[in-house]
Amino acid sequence: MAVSEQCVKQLKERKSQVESEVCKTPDADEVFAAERKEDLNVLIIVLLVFLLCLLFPNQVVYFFKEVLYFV
Amino acid sequence: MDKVRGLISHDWKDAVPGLLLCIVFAILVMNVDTLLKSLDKAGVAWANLVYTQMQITYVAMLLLGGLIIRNVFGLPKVFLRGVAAARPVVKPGIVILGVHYVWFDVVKVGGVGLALTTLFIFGTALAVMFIAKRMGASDGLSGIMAAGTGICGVSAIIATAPVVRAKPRDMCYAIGTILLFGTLMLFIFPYIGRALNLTEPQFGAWSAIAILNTAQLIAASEWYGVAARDTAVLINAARIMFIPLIVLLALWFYVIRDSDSKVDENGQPEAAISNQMASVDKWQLIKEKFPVFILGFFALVILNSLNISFLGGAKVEGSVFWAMDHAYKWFFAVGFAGIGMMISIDDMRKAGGKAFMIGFSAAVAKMVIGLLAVYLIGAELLTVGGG
Repeated sequence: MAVSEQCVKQLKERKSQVESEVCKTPDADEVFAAERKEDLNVLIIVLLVFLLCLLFPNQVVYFFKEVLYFV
Repeated sequence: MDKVRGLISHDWKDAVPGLLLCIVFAILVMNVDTLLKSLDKAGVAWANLVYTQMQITYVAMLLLGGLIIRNVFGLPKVFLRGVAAARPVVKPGIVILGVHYVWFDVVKVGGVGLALTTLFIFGTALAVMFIAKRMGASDGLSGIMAAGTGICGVSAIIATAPVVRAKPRDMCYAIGTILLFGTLMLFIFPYIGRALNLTEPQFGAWSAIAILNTAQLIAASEWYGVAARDTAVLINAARIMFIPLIVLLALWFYVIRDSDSKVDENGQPEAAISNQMASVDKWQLIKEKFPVFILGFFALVILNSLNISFLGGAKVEGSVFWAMDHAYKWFFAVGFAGIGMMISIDDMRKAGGKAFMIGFSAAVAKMVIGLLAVYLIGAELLTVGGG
């Protein structure tokens, strides 16, 4: 009886080990640190776009409306 | 200086090839889109069939093209990091779209959207918790599926998983299921909307209720039309602010609420663990999970509402906001290229188990009830007037 309980315990441990190996999932803290970093980068990019548009509005429009279209 | 350096990923160089690939792909597709549009306007029959009737606009070309590149031709490993980095490029586009709105829109559409999303987010989360309990799913799986189907998909699953102590296998199934339904909805929603003759604002609201992922929602609504996108962006802004609250709801439902009575699978009293969880700084949790980029969106809405003369407006030629309005579409295009190339059919095959059944029930219920809700509300209350 004790042997079979030990077996079951070992099998359970092996099962959870295999599961964690097969389904590697991201760590929440890492992901959210990355998301926070990503969000701050988004705000910096928008600020840069804002400054460019403040200083050179017509050139920005020319770039996005003319330069990038070659057809 | 260290804080500034911390904002740049240590592996940013690995992202360059994939990011460049997405930018080149976006430029090519935007040019093809312009060509198709001009041929359609000139009365060329095949261009009309493709562009107007089949709705193969730049959004569809980027998404389908990306999907084909990734899953048919295969994407070399060197591009993968950059393709993943291209997907969030949609976010600056969303923030810049703030120049399209004034506070009246936020109050009118945002108010209706807030009521709708509150109802659907918490309604779905509670319904999924109930269904999952009846299906005998573990607390971990129920908690992450409630968060995942109620709110922002994968982000919400990852945020909630440690709180409800979900197993890696459950997370795997849940993420696979959310990805599968998100992708299916992204491609079929615009066609269902047209078949049902939904107006653009109604479609925007419906997709904001049913499509969980922000980038996929923006893609589907932009595909449907400009007014659909404007409504969807505003409702989504209200929705994603709920992520921290859903995490708190899961914490309360699974950990704090019945902390005294349970014993975990190792025979350890759960009260001890739960007391630890209950001592979590809730305010800190809310701050950590809050999507800060959306503050930029609201900052632009406020500036646009104040009618500051040197900033102008999206339609005032030569002004700052007019120039910004020409940029957002390119951020979207690069982001959509990333979304398309990130769709991995292998990842979606991981959907399964009870997570699939729970996700399927929640998705169908949300689609049908959401549709009824937008029909009842009508287009008027969901239409963005703009600044």
